[in-house]
Amino acid sequence: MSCPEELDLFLLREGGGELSEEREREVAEHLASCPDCQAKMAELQGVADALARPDPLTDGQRAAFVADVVKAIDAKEEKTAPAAGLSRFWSVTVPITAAVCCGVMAVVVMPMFFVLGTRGSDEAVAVQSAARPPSAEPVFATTVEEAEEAEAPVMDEASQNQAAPAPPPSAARGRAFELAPNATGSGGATPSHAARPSGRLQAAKRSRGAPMRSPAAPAEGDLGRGGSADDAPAAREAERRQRLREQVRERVRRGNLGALQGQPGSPTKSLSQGWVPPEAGMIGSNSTGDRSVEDVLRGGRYGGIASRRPMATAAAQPTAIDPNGRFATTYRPGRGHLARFEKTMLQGQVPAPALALVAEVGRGRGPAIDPPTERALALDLRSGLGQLPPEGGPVHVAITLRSTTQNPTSRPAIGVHLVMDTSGSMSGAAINDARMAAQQLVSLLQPQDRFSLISYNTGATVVIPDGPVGSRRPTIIGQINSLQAGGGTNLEAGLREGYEQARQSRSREDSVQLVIVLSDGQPNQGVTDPWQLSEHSAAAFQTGIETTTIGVGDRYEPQVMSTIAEYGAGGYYYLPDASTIEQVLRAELDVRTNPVARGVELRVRLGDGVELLEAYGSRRLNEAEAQRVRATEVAIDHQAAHRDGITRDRQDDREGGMRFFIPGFARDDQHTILLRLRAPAGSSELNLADVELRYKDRITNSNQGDERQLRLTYAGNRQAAISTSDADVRRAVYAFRTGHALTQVSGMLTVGDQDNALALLYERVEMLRRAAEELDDATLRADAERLDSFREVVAQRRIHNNLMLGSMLQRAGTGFMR
Amino acid sequence: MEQVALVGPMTSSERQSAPAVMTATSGERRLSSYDDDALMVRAQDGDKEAYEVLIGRYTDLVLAVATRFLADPDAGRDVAQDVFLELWLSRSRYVPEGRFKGYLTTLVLNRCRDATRRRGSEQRRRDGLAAQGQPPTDDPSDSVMKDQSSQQLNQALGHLGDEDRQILVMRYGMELGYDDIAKETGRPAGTLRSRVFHALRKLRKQLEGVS
Repeated sequence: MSCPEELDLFLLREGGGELSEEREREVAEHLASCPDCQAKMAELQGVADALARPDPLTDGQRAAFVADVVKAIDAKEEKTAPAAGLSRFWSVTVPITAAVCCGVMAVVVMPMFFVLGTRGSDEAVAVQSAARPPSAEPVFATTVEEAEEAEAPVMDEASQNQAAPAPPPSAARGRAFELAPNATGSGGATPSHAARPSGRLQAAKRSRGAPMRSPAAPAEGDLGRGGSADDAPAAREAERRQRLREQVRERVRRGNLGALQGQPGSPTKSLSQGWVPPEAGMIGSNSTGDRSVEDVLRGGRYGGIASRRPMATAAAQPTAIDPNGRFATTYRPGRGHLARFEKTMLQGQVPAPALALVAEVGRGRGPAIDPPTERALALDLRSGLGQLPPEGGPVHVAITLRSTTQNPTSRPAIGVHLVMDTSGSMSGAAINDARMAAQQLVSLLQPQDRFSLISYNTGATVVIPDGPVGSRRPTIIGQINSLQAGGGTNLEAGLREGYEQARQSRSREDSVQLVIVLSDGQPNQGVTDPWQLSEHSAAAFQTGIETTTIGVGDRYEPQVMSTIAEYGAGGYYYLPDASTIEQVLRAELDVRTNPVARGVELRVRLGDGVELLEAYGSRRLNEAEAQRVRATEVAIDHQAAHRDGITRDRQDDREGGMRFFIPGFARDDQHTILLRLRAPAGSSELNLADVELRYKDRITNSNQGDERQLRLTYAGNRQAAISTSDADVRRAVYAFRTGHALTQVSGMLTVGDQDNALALLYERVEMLRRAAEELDDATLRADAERLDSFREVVAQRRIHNNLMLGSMLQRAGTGFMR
Repeated sequence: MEQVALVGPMTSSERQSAPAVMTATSGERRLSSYDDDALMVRAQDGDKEAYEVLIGRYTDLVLAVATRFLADPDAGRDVAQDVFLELWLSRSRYVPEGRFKGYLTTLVLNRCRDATRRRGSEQRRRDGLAAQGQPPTDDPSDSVMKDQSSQQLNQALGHLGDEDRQILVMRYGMELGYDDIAKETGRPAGTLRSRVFHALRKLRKQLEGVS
């Protein structure tokens, strides 16, 4: 095919169905293989990117601009302020009133809280209720607002009727500002960009149509004067706005105090000392329960917009989890979810800002640990607090595995059995990419490696039976080229045939047998349920056959493929285009043939009186799942004995403690398991946990292990304990929190619940920003901005395929929890 | 940390109330850590400091969009200033629903279009100059934008027709979808796609010429 019109290439990129399906397919196929067209598109993309980038301003230029605006505002207000005398009166009176009221509160009411609160009686509760100020905006501030600017929002009657002993600090500050304008406001240096004459500024006033995305903005008068009280819809709208504002104010208020209040959803900020480490949550604990900051964040909701979220997702009282049994790990090789996500956004289905969200997913945020040199794995164990507070409470423990950068002693022979989807849904770019991937794969295999090719659509066909690559290489390539797409998609048939070939292939017991499934992940015949399909891959692994899945095609659905890979102990990838094929396959073969450690088991036994509150990103496996894992462990024990001559040591299934199992640990990799425990009260020393690691070391070809004990002393008081908090562990906590939020958001988006997804993203952005500030951590700051960009995308409802996006996010979320 | 002792055994409904009292004694959190809605609500309460933070946060974006839309740094700066002034004066209209950026960019778009209409004949004169190969910008040393590549981009944009330039800014500068642009311009989304393509190509050509 000759090169298509550049317009067609552009329309393909922009999406929107301007091209017929047929044409779209043709153009996509061509684009995938034509460097000229790719270069043309890259050039256009470059221009578009330049338009999307704001011009860089220096801090000085930005400050000068802000000063200009403030000056213009001051000039404008000076000119238009109605009843200036009255305004001045209020601006003097209110701060004084506020100060007096605050003073009264501080002297009289707060000691009451202290005395009564510590008694912990119902009586105390009653008195607090009576003494507390209303949470709604007091009437003072609003009245002044009206007097000064005649633009007070309409308040609902209930709010207006509430007694108001003191205006909130925000109102008081607002007025104080009027009394003493700050330096910027009163005119800082504005050399080259001084405000223009006010005549020009008048232009702004001329047109005040409601902006197009201003949601349901009623026709308010100039400067937003309240609508007619007789106008019921307008009044309702005004009420709604007022309510939303209240929610934001409340959120901000709680933001300052959440750590002390154990308030659901409040971020962890102390009164005046900046960020409170997650462990400080324990200072909020009391006799009614152990609600800590961590409980709060786990429930993660502000009282604001997020309060609409169903209670099911709200914070629950932490109950201890049985710390004996097998637990799921979040360790996954491969980056299928990320590649697919990026591809989607390049097609314009999800705008570019969201790309940045997951661009760094999976980047290790655990503690920095040097890779070991003598053996495959290093174990690092640390707690969130260096010392425990005397009354005990929640504490985090981060257990990190770091693998060596060295290669294992030998590369075993490998048998690759390629199960290739040739169904109708693969037609176009997908089959093209799949063919290229298959050819590339064959070219990467060594002559002694074994290979078979199975194609499947309505049924499965063995195109190339199992045998050494050797002299068959040209024939294999030719057969791959002849594959055409058409028919239904019976993945189960393909898998069965693939495993059959792999079983036949096991002539050499030390060889690695790998089934690779290349598909767009849309089975529609035979078994289509991901869990049932994964039973095949799980069963195959018991006999030493690993299953890796590689997604292709623009219509790729990740659910089935990722589940099969998960239980097949293989890698999970997505090929966005032909250019990534070689890189992916090389990496995959490297991981399959070169895991530095196999059969990795971490066992955590908690000390006396210590309780498990949470294993982040993990869960306790049920009986059936635990049995699968156990069978895998036995299989690996066997395989290691045959392939690497490592003595079997897993014949007995030793019970006891939390057990995390990782079938194979890649070279130069790191993984953190984060636990939240509850320590009992004490005064001297506590054995928090014993951690035992054992694995099949492929560097030394031996069974290796490590045992560590985490013992902590008790500090004299809470503050001393909090001052020993570990920044690395805190970073890990935030990363896990972000991941947890993403997985929650994914669930919400999948069911179309954008509002709650938005609310959750909102609070996590806020949380990360403050964490970044407190820890002065650029990575956390970047995470916050990524999340914020994504929030923007969700807010503007620019996501066209919620289901797909939800699924991607779910995996992106687990990427954070590494 | 006497405040810690204030927290006795309270029910969750009690906790709702306590922060209002406690906040009076608390230190101010840095405004830069507030999100847009929180800053806007502070602004609605009359807090100019919060509003300044908000302006600072969006100055780059608003200036870039306005400048590119109008292909004139001075006019862009005027519009940007107007936008922030208007936003302050009409701040009570903003509803904190997490869509501040969208709200702001819409405001920018409306003011840019007003400015385009206003300058009418002046713009035609500039277009005439641009057609003769003279950059429509003033002395770059007087411009807020001093970055060379930005200048080139702005110059190249100046050579495009108003509509081409505007749909490019809407599509890429403001990241609006085609449906939104269609609503704004009254043109069908299908036509817009090819229009954007041709405009993008023109811009690419201009950039090649400029560089």
